[in-house]
Amino acid sequence: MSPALADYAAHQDAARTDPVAPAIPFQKVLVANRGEIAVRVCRTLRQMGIPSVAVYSEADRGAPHVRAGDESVAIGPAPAAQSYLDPSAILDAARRTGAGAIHPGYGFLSENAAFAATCRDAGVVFIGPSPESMARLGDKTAARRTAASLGIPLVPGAEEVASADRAVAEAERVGFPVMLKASGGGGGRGMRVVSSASEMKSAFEAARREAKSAFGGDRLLLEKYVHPARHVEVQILADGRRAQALGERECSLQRRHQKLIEESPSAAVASKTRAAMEDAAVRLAEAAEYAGVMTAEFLMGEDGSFHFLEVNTRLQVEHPVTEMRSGLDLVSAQILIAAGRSLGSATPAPPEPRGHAIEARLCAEDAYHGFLPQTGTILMLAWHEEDGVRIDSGIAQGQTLSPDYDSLLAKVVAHGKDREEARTKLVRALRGTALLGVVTNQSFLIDLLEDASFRRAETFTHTVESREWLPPATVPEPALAALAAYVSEPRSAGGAEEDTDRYSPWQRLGAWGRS
Amino acid sequence: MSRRLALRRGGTPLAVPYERKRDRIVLGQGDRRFEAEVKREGFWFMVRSGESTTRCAIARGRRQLWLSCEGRTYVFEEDHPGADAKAAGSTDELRAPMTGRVVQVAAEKGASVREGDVLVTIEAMKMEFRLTAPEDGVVSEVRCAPGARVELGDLLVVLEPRK
Repeated sequence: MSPALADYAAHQDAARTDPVAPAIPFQKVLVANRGEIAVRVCRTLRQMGIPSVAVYSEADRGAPHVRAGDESVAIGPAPAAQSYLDPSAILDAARRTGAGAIHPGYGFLSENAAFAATCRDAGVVFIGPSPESMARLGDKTAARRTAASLGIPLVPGAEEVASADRAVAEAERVGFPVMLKASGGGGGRGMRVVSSASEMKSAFEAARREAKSAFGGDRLLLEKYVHPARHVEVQILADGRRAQALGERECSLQRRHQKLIEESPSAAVASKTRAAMEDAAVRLAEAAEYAGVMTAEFLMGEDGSFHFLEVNTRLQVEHPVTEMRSGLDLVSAQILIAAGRSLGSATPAPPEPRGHAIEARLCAEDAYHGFLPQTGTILMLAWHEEDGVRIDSGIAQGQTLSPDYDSLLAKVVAHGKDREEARTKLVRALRGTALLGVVTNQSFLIDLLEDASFRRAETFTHTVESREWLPPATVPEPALAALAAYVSEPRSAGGAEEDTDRYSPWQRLGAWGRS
Repeated sequence: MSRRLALRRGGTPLAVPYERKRDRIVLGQGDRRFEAEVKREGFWFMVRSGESTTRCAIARGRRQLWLSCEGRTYVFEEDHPGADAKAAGSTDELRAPMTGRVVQVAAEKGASVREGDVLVTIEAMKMEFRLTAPEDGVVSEVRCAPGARVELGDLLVVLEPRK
């Protein structure tokens, strides 16, 4: 059992002896998401003894997350707007299965205050903050205002820009380059860096369209593009009255404003800065009477100064980094808090974080060619298993990837006593992973983790995109030897030396078979 | 008996000569040789050469051979007569760089465009990608419409370069 699970089990025992707490907080929970996060939430529900309901679109029939739930419900066609993003489809599935609570995961409806309110009206518990807290913090524009009222330093900008012309005027005020962001957005979508007035019109329209398709709202805000900067965020756990900070994560390595590598602690955050960031994050949560898990994001300059960026009113993709250091199960904490527990009973005393954790996001994209999204069928999949390595995966062999959803396939997380141990473990885990049939960023993640800049912890938000990353130029000799063995195998009937389609990949899977 | 690895990688022929005797593989010829013993364990190929052992996994897709070695993935096209290299798109053919959905078509038949003008916007995995004119020219064909699903390599727009 991993340290995280051991702590979790101990805490579960403590929770059971709590005289006011019911044995399980909910009779059944619906997981309104897909992919790795739906699998991960179902895992905790199972550990807590709570039956789970998975939902799936037509494109996800047979996907691993469907099997992760104790039962599953079809909610509509492939496009997210008609399935995972459709509040009535989700609520209807909850009603049909008798689920008393909904865990939204991240993305999709997780930061949708209107959906949280609809759930409340329908008598279903939304496992997340109240719509009121979300309105104050989840919306980027509102969050900037809340932070400003608390005296938390902000990135210079404008809370609302209604037109491209207005955006140009604001950009000229704070100075180019600037960043356009969807007010209701997250996950790097609906964001554009604009370096001159002439680029504004098309960037504005693209950001708006993306915002609308991903979040159903098209309001944009504008911020000065801080450069060079590190992305540092603080994990918060709160119960509506009190908030607790669980340390920071540095997530500077990004492409298209989406994180690729996340780690904790940040090598660049001094303990004084950490305390100040944690204090700001706690004050934001308490000001909004926040209940649940929350992340306050900051940009940190080279001099260690920091500016508030935004709040994510949901579980983060990179939450395992915090879990591996703290030993907490943040999903379980979310569920207990949503059931009305206070901080003290929902989690043990905040543990002293141990060691160092690094997460790498394995995505279906060609990192060596503009990070273009890739689809295809997974012909073969094998993970590397090792103590201190955690794989949160939403894929399986034989699965066909749909272009309708995010490119994130799995997260590989390593924990070590220090940064170097975690780094080498993560590299080993990535080197030991085989995923065939779809181009992924696996090799690129290894490049990044092995790069001198990463070893020196010189990581900035522009690091990934300011350089050209090249695929391995040659095929190593052992790989060629394996290829020669493969194509000359009698079973392969000449293989590449003949034009034959007689052998399906499935016959080549050996002991693994078809899953 | 000497054989040849008739595979291409990124359109470039590999054409590596090799010999096989049971589990022993010898790559190359003359001075440049690499010898290894290759054994299968499950779907892994264990390649032992001297003191070091390397693990590789191989799978055959519909059109390609996939190989994973030490966390790096290599894709090979099987080299047979008549097989065309993947449609790379000549300068005046704009093809879908990925499977996705067309969100906007700015190109209009007969319109003059400048290098860098956005012609088509495609969305996949919730990200937008803009296809721009590779050079000045006139749009001679538009083969896509907003909302349409396109596959990797589908022809979207044909551009007649300006003389």
